[in-house]
Amino acid sequence: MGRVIRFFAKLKSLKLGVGFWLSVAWVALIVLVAIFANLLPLPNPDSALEAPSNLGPSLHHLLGTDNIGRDELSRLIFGSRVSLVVGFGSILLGILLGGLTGILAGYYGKAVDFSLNSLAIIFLAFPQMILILALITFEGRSLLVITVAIGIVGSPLIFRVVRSATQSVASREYVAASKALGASTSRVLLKEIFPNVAMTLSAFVFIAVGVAILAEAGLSFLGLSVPPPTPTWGDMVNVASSELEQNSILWIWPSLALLFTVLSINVVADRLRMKFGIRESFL
Amino acid sequence: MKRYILIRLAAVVPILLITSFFSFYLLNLLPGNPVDAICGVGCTAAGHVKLTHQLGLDKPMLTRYLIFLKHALTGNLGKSYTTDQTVTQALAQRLPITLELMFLSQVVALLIAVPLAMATALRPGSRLDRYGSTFSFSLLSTPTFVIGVFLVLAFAVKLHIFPATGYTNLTQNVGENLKSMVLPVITLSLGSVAVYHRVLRSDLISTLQEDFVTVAKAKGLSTRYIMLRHVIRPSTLTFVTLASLNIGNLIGGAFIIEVIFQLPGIGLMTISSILQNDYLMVQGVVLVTTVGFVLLSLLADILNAVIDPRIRVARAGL
Repeated sequence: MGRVIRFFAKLKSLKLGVGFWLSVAWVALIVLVAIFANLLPLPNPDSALEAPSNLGPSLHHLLGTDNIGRDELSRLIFGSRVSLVVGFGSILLGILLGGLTGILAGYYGKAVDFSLNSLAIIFLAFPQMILILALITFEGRSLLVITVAIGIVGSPLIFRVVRSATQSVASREYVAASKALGASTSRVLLKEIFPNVAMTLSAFVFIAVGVAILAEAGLSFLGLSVPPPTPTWGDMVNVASSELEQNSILWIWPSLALLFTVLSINVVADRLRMKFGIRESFL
Repeated sequence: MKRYILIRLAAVVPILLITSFFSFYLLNLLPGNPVDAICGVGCTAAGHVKLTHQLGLDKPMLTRYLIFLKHALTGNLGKSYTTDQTVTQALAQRLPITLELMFLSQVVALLIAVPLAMATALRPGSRLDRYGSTFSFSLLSTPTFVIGVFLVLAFAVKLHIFPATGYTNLTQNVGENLKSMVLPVITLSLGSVAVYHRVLRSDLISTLQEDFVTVAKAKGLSTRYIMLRHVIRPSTLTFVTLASLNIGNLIGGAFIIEVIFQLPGIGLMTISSILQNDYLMVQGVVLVTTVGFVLLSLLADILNAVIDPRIRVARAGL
C-alpha cells in the first residue's frame, strides 16, 4: 500500500498537468474497450438491418444506427481495434527497422552511417502516401500489409531521429569513460546510449503513432484499408458522409473518436517532449 | 551559387534513377505472376502470351528496366486497361486540377499562417497566442476528411452556399471554377496552416531575441518595419524546408479531398485505378508524382540557399 501511495506521489511530483492525465485516461479507455470489446454487452457490429437505419441516439442504440441499421456504438468500439493495431503495430515495426539501424549508423559513423543514411534519404524522396498506395495496390489490402506499409514508410523518419540522438549521446564524456573502463561495444550501446536515446525517441514515437492512426484513417476513408465489413473509423466517416442529408450527426461519432485519440496521443507526446527538454526541430 | 546548384542537381540524378526503378519494379511486387493478375479471369492463352510480350516480361530484368526508362522518357507509360486512354493522356488531363488545388491551398495557407504567426510571435503567452497554439495543435490532430465532411455539411448541405461536388474547368468559366474550388482549397489549406504557424511562430520568437532586433528597436524603427525588413527573412529557413517536406502530405491530402468533393484530379483517378486493379495507371502515377516531388524538394533547397548565403558556402564546400 505504501508503495502504491509513493508511486502516485512520484507521478504527482512530475507535474505533467491535468491535460496529460485526461489524455492518458482516454487512450487507456480506448485500449481497454478494444481489448474487451467481445465481453461488452453490444450488438454485433456487422449485423445489418437488426434495427431501422439512420436512427438517432436512443437507449437501445446509444449513438444511433448507420445507413443499413448497424449499431454505431458497437462499430465505433470494434473499429478502434484496426486504428490501434495499425497505429502501434506499424510504429513498433518502424522502431525495429529504423531505431536499430539508427543507433548503428549514429554510433559507428563512417561507411555504415553513409550507406544507411543514403538509403533513408532515398526512401524519404518518395511522397509517403504514394509509397503506401503503391504497396497496397501491388500487395493487396489486409491488416498486415497496411501495418507493414505504414511501418516501412515511417522507419526512415525514426532512423533519422535515432541517428542524430545517438550521435549527440555518443560524443558525451560518460560514453568515453565507459569505453575507457573496457566496456564491450554491446554494453556501451545498451547501458549508456540506448537509455538516453530512448527518452528522445519516446516523444517522437507518440507523435508517429498519431500520424500512423491518421494515415490508416485516411486509407479506410478512401476504401483502401481493411476491407468491409470490418469496422474502421475512417470507413464509418465515409459511410456517414454519403448520408448527410438523412442523418447529419452520424459522422460526428467516428470523427470525434479519431480526433480525441490522436489529440490525446499528441498531448502526451508534447508533455514528454517538454519534460525531457527535447527541441522540436530535433523531431 | 552556380556551383551549389550544380552539386545539388547532380545529387538528384541517382535519386531519380532509383525512384524510377522502384516504380518499374512495382509490377514485380504483384503476388504470383503479374500477367495472371492483370489478365484476370477468363484469360485466354493467346491473351496471356500477348500481354506477357506487351509488358515485356519475356526479357531479362535490366533490359526491361532500360526499355521502361526509354519509354517513360518519351512519355509512353502504357495504356489503361479500364479506359481506352494512355496513361500519359490521363495524367496530362488530370494533373492541372490537382496542381491548381495544391497551389491555391498553399496561397490560402500562407495568407492565414504568416500574419497569425507574426501577431502571435510578438506577444508570446498572450490570449491570442494561446488560442492560436491550441487551434494549430487541434488541427494537427484532425483528419483532413473530417474537416472536409464538416465543410460539406455546413456550407453545401445546410447553407447551400458552395457546391459539395462537381467541377468546372478553369478554361471554361473562371468564376464557376473558383466556386467549385473554395471548399476543397480550404480543407487542404487548414492542415498546412497548423504546421506553418507552429514553425514560423517559434522561429520568429527566437529571431526577435537577436541583438540586431534590439538595435533596430533602439534606433526607433517601427515594429512593422522591423518585422518585415529584419525578422522575416532569417526566420524563414526551417519554414522553407518544412514547406517542401509538406508537399508530400499535401499530395496525400489532395487525394482524399478529390474523393470527398469528386474533383477529377489524379487523386480520384488513382483511387479508382487501385480499386479496379489498373496497375499501369498506378505505376504511372507513382513515377510522375515522385519525380515531381523530388524536383520540388530540389527547388526548396535552392530557394533556401538564395535566402541564406551561409548555406551555399557551407554546402558548396562539401
